[in-house]
Amino acid sequence: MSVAPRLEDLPMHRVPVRFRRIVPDARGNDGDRIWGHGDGAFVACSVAKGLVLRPDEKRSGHGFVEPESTVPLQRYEEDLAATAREWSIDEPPVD
Amino acid sequence: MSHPSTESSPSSHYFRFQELLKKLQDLMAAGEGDSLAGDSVRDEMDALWPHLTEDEGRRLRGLSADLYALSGEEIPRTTTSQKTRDELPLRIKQAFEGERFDEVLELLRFHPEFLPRHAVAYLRGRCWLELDDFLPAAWFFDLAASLEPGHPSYAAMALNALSMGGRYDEAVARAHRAAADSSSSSVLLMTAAQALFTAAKHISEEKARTLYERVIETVTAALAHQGPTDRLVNLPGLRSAGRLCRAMAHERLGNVSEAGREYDALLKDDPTDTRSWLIAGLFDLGRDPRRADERFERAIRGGTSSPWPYLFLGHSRLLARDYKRVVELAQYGLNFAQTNSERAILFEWLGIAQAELSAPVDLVRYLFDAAVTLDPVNMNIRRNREAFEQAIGAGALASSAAFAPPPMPDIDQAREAVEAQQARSSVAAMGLAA
Repeated sequence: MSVAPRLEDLPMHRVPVRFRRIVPDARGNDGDRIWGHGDGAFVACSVAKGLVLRPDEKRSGHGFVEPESTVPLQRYEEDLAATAREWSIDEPPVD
Repeated sequence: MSHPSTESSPSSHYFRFQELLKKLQDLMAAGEGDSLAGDSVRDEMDALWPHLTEDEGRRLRGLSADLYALSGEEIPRTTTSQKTRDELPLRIKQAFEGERFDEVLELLRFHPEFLPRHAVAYLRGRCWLELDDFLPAAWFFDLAASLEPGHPSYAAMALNALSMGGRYDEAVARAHRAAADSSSSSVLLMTAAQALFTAAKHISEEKARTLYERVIETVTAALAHQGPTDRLVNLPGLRSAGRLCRAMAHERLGNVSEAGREYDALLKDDPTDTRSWLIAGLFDLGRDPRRADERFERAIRGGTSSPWPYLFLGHSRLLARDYKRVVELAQYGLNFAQTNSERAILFEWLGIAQAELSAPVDLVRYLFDAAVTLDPVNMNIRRNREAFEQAIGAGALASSAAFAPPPMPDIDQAREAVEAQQARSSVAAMGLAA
């Protein structure tokens, strides 16, 4: 699963247009929300049971939440689903 | 290098993403940005995004912001201080003059009210065009034209950008509309002719004939527009480009005598246009080689920056055994050669000429080695180096080597290069008008 450390680092077409004052190239659907997980640094680490964050070496401002070891797809999906309650809406104010 | 991907292969993902951004912009402008259609565009963008380089992503982000100008919804970025803001116009000017077009675009995002809206749209179009991003260039020229419909160059710049970007169907459709519209400016007509000529090279021969005929009609109509209110057609670069286009259309239609007359008249009318001397010289090859040489000579004396007059005249002088002139032409030509195979040919000719002029063996060997290094697959060069080494090995003079006559440079390649240059030159001429 792709993740980004800041709103500005998300692909422009996924940043809701209401944030254009912060991200002038925003082209995302205004019905979408920005969700955050934890408040740690955006560095390689364990983020939940069975899941690790791996910052993208090729693209700054981008990372992957991936299984800590090779697992069946279903197991990975279950681990991701188990984090659902840990995510919260993390949006800057829109003026 | 202007493109953010690689010099040799611009990413198709990048260009597709540009189109999707425009599609999203149009949907958003129509109030349908959050519709299923909008999300479907975003889903396609998701598939492309990981394949873009960081530089491509950066440029596309800029384009996304710029496209809001099309619907008048641009939000200027904020600067930290009034001082910085006051400096922006000068920095934009310096960046444009320094041909730092990405920087111009970025600075405009902070200060889009730097000039009237149509002028900023034009400036953006120019920057995107200079970056070889032709489609965005066309969008911004279209915006400029819609904001200032009476401007003589904006619609022409948009048409030219579409043509340069390979959007031949749309370019031809616009060119036909312009040709059929009695209110079209002469600049637009001239550009339409050029777009039709360019498109004709990419379709079947039969269909191309119709376009070449239309080119001739359109240039003729544009030239007939020369009133005091339509004086831009008299800009030398534009006028010559149009007439050159008409001459080449005649040539492609097999109207040899009309083409010849057109070239003669064109050269008489504007003897400073080195591109015309070159094209006319190419026309003469195979018909009147002596006159072809004279025309290449005129292109060189006129200060051409194209390597082709040097290559064709150098080849002719080599066959005529005028070795001193070959040395001059090859040495000057090296300053303008654009590819290693061109450089290799010029080094080969230098090697042959210097051998024939009894230059030191080491110098001749160096020249042949340079030629082989630059183009290792050119067998003619290899044969001539071998001939030189055999003569020296047998204790003979280098001038006694049995050199194989080099083939004539590729005329079609020369034409392609010059015609591509012509579209750029028209941009410069229209830039003057703007």
